[in-house]
Amino acid sequence: MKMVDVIHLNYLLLPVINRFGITLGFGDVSVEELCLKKNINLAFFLNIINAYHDESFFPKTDLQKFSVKLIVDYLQKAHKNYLHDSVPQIEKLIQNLVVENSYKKQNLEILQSFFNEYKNEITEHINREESKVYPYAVQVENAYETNNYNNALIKKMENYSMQYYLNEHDNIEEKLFDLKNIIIKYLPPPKNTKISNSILIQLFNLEKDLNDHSRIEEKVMIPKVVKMEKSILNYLAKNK
Amino acid sequence: MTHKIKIILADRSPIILKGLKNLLNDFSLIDIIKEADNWEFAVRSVNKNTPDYLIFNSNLLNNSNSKKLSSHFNNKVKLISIYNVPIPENIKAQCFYSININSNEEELIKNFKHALEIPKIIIKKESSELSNREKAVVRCIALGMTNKEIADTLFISTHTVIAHRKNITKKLAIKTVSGLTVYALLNELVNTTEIEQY
Repeated sequence: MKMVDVIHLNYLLLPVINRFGITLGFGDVSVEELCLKKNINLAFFLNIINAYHDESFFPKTDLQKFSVKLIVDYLQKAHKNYLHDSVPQIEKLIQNLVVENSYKKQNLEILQSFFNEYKNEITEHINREESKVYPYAVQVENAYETNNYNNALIKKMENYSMQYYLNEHDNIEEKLFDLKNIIIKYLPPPKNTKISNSILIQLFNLEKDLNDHSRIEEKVMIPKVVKMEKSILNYLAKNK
Repeated sequence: MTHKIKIILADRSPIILKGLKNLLNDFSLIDIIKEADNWEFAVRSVNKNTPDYLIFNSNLLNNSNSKKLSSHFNNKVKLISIYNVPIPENIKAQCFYSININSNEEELIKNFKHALEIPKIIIKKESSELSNREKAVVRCIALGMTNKEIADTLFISTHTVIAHRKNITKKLAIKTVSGLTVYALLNELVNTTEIEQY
């Protein structure tokens, strides 16, 4: 299949292929050629775009075969995408609503303050994963592969298992869901419908992307790390 | 799109009739106006009631009456045949759609939706109007009260508060406390000064 056909099939994959370093203007090359040229793991790429395109397709076991490092690398690129593109774009559009006085002042303030809450929430969530969860996941994998565990890591594993993280993996999609409904249903009709439509399209796209993202974290990365933790701790218990 | 799809069902087996009725009634827009347990009665009912579809079991037909099905009817009813044993090709060819009723539920629903041309976007009766009690609960949530505080304020049990909250989220399609606060503000159930003061 040609890369151009992939995009014709589902243009929502554009930011996804960007995360792999593929930018527009790729010509008539096939997916395979392009991955080879860009040094992209073809099997991983195919699994990721297929899972994104078709929600019913989720090859959990296949995806778990890839290294944590590879998975985390993809998740981090997605994070950058959210923080540097999606969220600022929506913020800019909301700013446009203000400039155009599309809702009355009081309602604009309500909307802005709700969006700011959301923005803080998603930023905090991402920062926590970037500074704590992902580095830990990669550390566990390194230790597992090199059989080289230092005490600090073992302590961490005992105190902060990946399993806890799954339990407290807060749902950042909820506020997004509410934001959509507030704009669709509860704010009175805007003066400038086009801006509100654009905001909604961005919100729907971001929501879809975040759902896919959480699914990779919860069904692939976390279970994989949990398995490695268990195996390391078992090994240590036996060789005490 | 407000008009209902009128259907007549025909099958020898009362249990299959019941099952079909059950399945089809889950789609809105469906009106099953008659049920028949033999072909002759089915034909008479169709001619009298002019339904949009006749759903019938192919085993109701024999060699003589299955030659030209349309000749039985004085109107343009669409024929949907169902079968649990292989269906004769000539019957299948004369039907708008044929459905194997031995398939699983998901498959059956898919096929009937397709056969009856049920659109994906439909008008369903659903109320999303909040009751006065629910409005009072939303107001309390917006003020930042806990379930216990809401229960004490409204003289109800926390259990009831939780039930109200579930219904509110379902009706409004808003899941978070801040989202409900926005709803309360926009609908003047509460104002910003009250929230700040509380």
